Amino acid sequence: MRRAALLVAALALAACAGSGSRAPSAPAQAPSELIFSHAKHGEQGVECASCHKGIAAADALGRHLPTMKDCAECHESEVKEKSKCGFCHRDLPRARKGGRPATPGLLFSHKQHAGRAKDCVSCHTGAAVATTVSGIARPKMRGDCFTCHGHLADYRKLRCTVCHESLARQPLKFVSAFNHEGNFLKEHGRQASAGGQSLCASCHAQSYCAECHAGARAGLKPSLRYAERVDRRFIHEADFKSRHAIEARAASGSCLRCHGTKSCQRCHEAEGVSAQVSAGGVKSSPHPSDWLSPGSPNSHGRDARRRITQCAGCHDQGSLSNCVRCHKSATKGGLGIKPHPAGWRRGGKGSDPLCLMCH
Amino acid sequence: MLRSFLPLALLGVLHAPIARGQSLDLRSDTLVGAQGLRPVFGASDTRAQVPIWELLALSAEDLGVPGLGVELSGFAGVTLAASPLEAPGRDGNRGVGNLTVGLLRYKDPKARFELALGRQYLFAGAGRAEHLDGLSALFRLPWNLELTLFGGRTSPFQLDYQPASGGVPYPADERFAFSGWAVGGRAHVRLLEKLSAGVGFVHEGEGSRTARQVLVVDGGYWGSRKLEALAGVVLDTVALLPQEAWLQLTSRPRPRLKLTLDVTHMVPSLAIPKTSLFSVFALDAYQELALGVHVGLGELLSLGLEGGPRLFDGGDGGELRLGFNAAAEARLALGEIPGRLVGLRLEATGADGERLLQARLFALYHFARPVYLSGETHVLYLASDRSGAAASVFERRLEGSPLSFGGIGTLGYRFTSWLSAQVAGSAFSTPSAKHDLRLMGRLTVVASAGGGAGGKR
Repeated sequence: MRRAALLVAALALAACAGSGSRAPSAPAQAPSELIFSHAKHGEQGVECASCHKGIAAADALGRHLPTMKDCAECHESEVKEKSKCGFCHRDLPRARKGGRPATPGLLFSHKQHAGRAKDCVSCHTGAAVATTVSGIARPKMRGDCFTCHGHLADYRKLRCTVCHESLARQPLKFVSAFNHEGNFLKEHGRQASAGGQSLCASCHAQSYCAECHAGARAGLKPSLRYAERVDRRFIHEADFKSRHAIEARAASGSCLRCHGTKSCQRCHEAEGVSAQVSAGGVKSSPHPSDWLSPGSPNSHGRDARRRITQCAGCHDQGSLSNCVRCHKSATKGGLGIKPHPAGWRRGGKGSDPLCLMCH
Repeated sequence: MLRSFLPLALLGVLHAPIARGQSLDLRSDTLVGAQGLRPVFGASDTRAQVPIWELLALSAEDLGVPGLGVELSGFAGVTLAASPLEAPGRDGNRGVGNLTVGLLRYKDPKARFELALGRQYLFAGAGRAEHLDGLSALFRLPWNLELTLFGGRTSPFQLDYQPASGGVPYPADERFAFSGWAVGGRAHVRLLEKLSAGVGFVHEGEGSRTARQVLVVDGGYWGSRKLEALAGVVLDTVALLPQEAWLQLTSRPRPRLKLTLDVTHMVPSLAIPKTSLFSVFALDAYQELALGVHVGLGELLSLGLEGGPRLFDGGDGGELRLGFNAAAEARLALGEIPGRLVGLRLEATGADGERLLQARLFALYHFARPVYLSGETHVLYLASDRSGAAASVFERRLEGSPLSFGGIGTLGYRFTSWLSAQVAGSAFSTPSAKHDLRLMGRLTVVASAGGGAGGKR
């Protein structure tokens, strides 16, 4: 039984492959044209390794498939007489075309597993009853690989390449199937950096990154494009417009991780939340009325110290910036109010355009 | 306008090799919407608009040569409006579009190196992803050492910034001109599959001037499920000051329990381009401490708590500013079939004299037939300590209507494995827009060939 199962296991791996010209990891395969019952051979006491020669000692997933010469050991007349091709082959043109199935792109040693698994059926669960080549069921990652040893830990830690040569053609998985639970959204940037360029690319194309990170004017917010994905956490979902001012004040650095300092301006101008630009006949400053009064509770100086990135979001307009009007030196017609932080060292050259704005 | 048609043009040029490719993944989303909203803050009129969008993502591999592939992602859209908005930067009946990813990649069959040419994202450990039009090369060297080198024209985050003439308070020749470029690299090593260490360097320029130059050192430890650690520092090599430093600890002491600690120190003004006037104003730092607990109770229920204080240095003798963020979330899977769940998230944020509290209730249900429903409702409460003349225009508006509430509902139908359609609608009443009603239809085509099988997403 054990040997039969091993045979079935080896055949199953072979049956999973497609044409030899395909890339090695292509998972989609046409049904085999062979008429073959693994169950019947097992009942006859045929050992797996009798047909799948070398499988038990194989360190890699090779093509340990029986040849017609192997079949002839028992089915001599059927192999030799041309009129009996149909005994095994249901599609002769395809059979004549030849071609062996490609390996499924896995790093796998039957040798190591043969000593650990109880028998071949432990992984190839359909082996004993399969009446077709492919009916023996390939081992399932969750159901089989994860139950025996440390591959579950590998999976959760995204160590896919322990088993998979490449993930480029793996089917779609739920994001949460991997280790993306909890506050992953917040963590993922640093993980992507620390893990190197290959980490995210194992599963995701760059278009996936672009859905949120496109600086070049993304077409739609991801939360609108994927309105049905309520299980995902999108940063700008729902009424973010009302929230964003408070969010920005709470953690202005977090906005900067994705947004340039001018992304605020476009909206504020368009929506009339600007004292200088009107839209639809409406213009209104987003600042309190005592914003420009030194010493007042809402004086802009204090806020500028705390949230200079937000100031830059709207007011970084070159030499006619409204900040420069007051802060430039008296010799240039300003009020000479120094905006530099304590300990400010003049760096660079005196001809730096930034210095020349005020000095 | 040229950029609007770049995705289609590139697709046309690459059509033949893509068709010959061994594997192909394509996703196309066509969206047609209708919305009635008050686009201008405080205005009384409501504008009707009809946005039409096409979003396309495509990847193909082995284009005649093993290892040669292409990735494209782009969009094109037009917003039809009865009375186009006059504000600068707003689109009336004008079309927009862009290519967000467009690269040609070659992967050495022996996985020793990869080359990518075109518009791409780079995760070179330089504090944030780089999005640039250029060339990147990844070399896999002995001892698990990876070396990445890149250079090109940066795709600025603020590319929107194209003020039209007539409404801008400064002359066109004074406006911010962006001609950014970046070069950099990163060396990254993994030791025993438990430790990683990396050093990255980025120099960004605008024309002949330096906009940003940072050295990043980071490290990670993944040796145990009980402790994973990431730490790093971004050093501004122009100011010779740390722009950002972080420590992130994750522990999974039990299979369904995740604990996290995240400490961040940041000087926001150092993140501003050196070419900005504001880069010389302040060096106040920002600190954040966040704790997280996420636990699964059985197979179906998961709970999460996260949050912590945020602190801004006063600087120049000013007082400290304390803020906070806290969130709680619960999700209940409705059986073991994926795609059926209900969830609730509560989130509170406090800033300088302002607070918000948000509740989000969401549900998703995939029927046995190829129909799915999803919906979510939001309630947002916003409050400010300031009132009257001391309040900003938005805060004054909050005095009368501190609540924002609304919901989004979607109904989808999956005709085949490659074609699905969806209709969605949303309605919100918000302090900023008062009333916001939107409807949307979406047709999605997902095609795979030659083993693409839905491919990377």
